[in-house]
Amino acid sequence: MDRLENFWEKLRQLARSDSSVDVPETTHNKALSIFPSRQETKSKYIFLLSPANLAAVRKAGSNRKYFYELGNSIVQLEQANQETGSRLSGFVHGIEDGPVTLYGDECVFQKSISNGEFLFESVPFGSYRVCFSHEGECSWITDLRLNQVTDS
Amino acid sequence: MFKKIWKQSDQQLVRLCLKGDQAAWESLVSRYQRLVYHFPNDARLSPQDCDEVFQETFLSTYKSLEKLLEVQALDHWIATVAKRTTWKVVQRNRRHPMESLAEEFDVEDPDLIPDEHLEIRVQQAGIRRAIGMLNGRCRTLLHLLFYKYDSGDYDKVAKEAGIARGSIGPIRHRCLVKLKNVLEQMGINQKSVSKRDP
Repeated sequence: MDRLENFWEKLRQLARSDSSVDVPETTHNKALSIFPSRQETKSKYIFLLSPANLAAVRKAGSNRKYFYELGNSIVQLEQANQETGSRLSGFVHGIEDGPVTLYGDECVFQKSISNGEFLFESVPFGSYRVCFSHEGECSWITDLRLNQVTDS
Repeated sequence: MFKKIWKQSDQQLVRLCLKGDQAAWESLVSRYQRLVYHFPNDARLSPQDCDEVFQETFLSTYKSLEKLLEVQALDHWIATVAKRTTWKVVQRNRRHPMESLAEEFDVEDPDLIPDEHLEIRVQQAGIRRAIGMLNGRCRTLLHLLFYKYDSGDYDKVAKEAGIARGSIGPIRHRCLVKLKNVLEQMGINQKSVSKRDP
């Protein structure tokens, strides 16, 4: 067997044993969303979800929005700037009214769910967890982490 | 435009990423996504955990872009991050009984995971990428011969590739020479491939 054929056989063996799989589109999109989009190259911040409980993230429209779908809950983070802080809104299936609490390292915010929806505005950057209190029990839906990653 | 970017070297892509070029980032992700996903998938992690490893690996890549200008072998760098991140998730999951645990990741330290696993995955990803960079006919033919059919299935290959059976040998030879050249540019040559059997 000449050298080229020998090389061919080695490559073919490697290829045949390749157990890699196609990457799901939603997974692929998560990596794309890490990078600030063209329109936002001047943005100072991007939001990142601590992926411990992450079920799905997708990017929507031209605005930088992330939807975190966790079981029956959806938490939406919107791009924010240094002046206004972050904006976090969501919708909870099955809970029409009740308190929702945002626990941060240094602060706690509490709002009410109205018709399943909630909204936090002007949330400073930091690490947060979201909890729905329902019938006296705190139900953690996710770990959220808002990171400063660039200084433009 | 995308095709041009696809053929850029890793360092050229990293440089473009640092300038805020989103197409370069997309190309970088596309180039290495299969390699990254290979690790958690082989470790039999759940789809959610695979997502976590994937996202964390590319986040580390994004945060390290400046440092990566100095890195000669980005494929090995990314594979190492994916391997370590996979190991971390496997360790975290050990608190909960798993149905099955990939032996490779059942070690106390990620450095104990044999390098040959990483090397083989890097080379496998390199072969896929190199085939993808060939012209349409070579790409189709080599894909069929490498991934779909056994080496003796020339009749099936000829039919699917739309090539006369008698032409497969010569075309295959020309395509292999092209593939060899592309692979050499990626640091994969006869010597490095023949070091280890998969």
